[in-house]
Amino acid sequence: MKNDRPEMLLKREIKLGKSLKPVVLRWHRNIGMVTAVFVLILAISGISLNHTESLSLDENFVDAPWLLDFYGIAAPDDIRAFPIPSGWITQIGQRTFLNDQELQSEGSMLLGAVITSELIIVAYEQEVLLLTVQGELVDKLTALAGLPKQITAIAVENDQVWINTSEGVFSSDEAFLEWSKEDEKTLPWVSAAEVSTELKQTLTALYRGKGLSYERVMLDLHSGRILGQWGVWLMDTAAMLLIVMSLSGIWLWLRSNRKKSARAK
Amino acid sequence: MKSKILLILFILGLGVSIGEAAHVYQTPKAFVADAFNGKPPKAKALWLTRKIAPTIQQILHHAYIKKRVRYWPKDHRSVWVLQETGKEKLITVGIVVDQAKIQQIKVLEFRESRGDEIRHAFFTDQFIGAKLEKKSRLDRHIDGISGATLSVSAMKKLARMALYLDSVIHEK
Repeated sequence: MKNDRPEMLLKREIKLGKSLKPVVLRWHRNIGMVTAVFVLILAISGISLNHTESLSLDENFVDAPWLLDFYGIAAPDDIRAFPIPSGWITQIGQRTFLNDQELQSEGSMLLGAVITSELIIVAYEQEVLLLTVQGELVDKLTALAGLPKQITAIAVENDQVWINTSEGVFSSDEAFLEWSKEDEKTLPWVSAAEVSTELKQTLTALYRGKGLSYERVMLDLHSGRILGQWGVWLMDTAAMLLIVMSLSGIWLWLRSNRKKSARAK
Repeated sequence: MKSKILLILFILGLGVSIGEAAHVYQTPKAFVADAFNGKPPKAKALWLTRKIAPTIQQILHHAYIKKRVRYWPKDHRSVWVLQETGKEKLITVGIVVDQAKIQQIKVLEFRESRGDEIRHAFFTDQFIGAKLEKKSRLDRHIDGISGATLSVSAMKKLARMALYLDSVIHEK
């Protein structure tokens, strides 16, 4: 009598397992079909992200207009442009260009550009860039290096560069190493030029051209954020389904093993 | 129930995001003033000409970010404020060279999210007295810091660059 009880329980368990098995198997297959697409997306994007540097995903940018539009990457309307003999110094959003070459600036507002016999001098609210005529960076002058704060305008007169700041008017020495405070005087302060439609189109293309890296797209594909907040929930659901599938798979495997061992006995 | 229960534990890794911040430990202006006891000489600019640029390229493994370098010379001393990328962002370092040896090296601005241990004295003190050997190498081994390999490398490169530039201005 004492030994009958476990046998009964085992029989009941086998009976329950028999009735459950087709249901679990059906759901296991259905979930497998549904999650296959997500597994592919997660696997491909995951492998790509693991090799971001070797694939240069962070250095290459999407130029497909439909994807840029999908991301809502539109170029800002605030464009400032200053003509120089070799073309234009322009700022769109916080990015600055010498013709189609992007400059390394900190992003404060572009106030103007002037040229001397050797250099192009680009003034921002918080910094001044010295460039060769080819656009190479000679020096970047900031408040930390002694540049007067809060620049409002730049001017050049007889190769002498002047800046107007919140602290007054300053002139630079020949090498742009020192700035001396000067008395207020009338100077040809540079002002922004009108932006033609053609220039605006060129700048918009330049801006959008580096607005979206492939790394960003892969990250968003992996997390589901490419479809917004709903995409994240969708990926979470897919992950939950994968967990269910793993558990049901293990359960089915254990059952088939038990059946095999029962037959062997 | 005698049947065994299979338990599967999922360990969830929590991603810790580390915020990026630019730390200004000392302005170049204040560093230079300190180096000369409050009476700094006038700044000069050294252009990285075709004669100088190849050695800089050899030290940094790339061209310097600017075409000229600002420095403050007085007698046998010179003070340099140089920049180099650690992993992704620029590190600004102030270096005092006295009689062709490093007298002081200090991180002035650090923009990377990690690796700022290089600013501590236990690391920077290793450079004091260092001079250049052949092939623009330091005359001593500098111990690294685990987790700050690229920042350490940037610091070593800038130390070599300052010593090399100091030798250039004293050749003149």
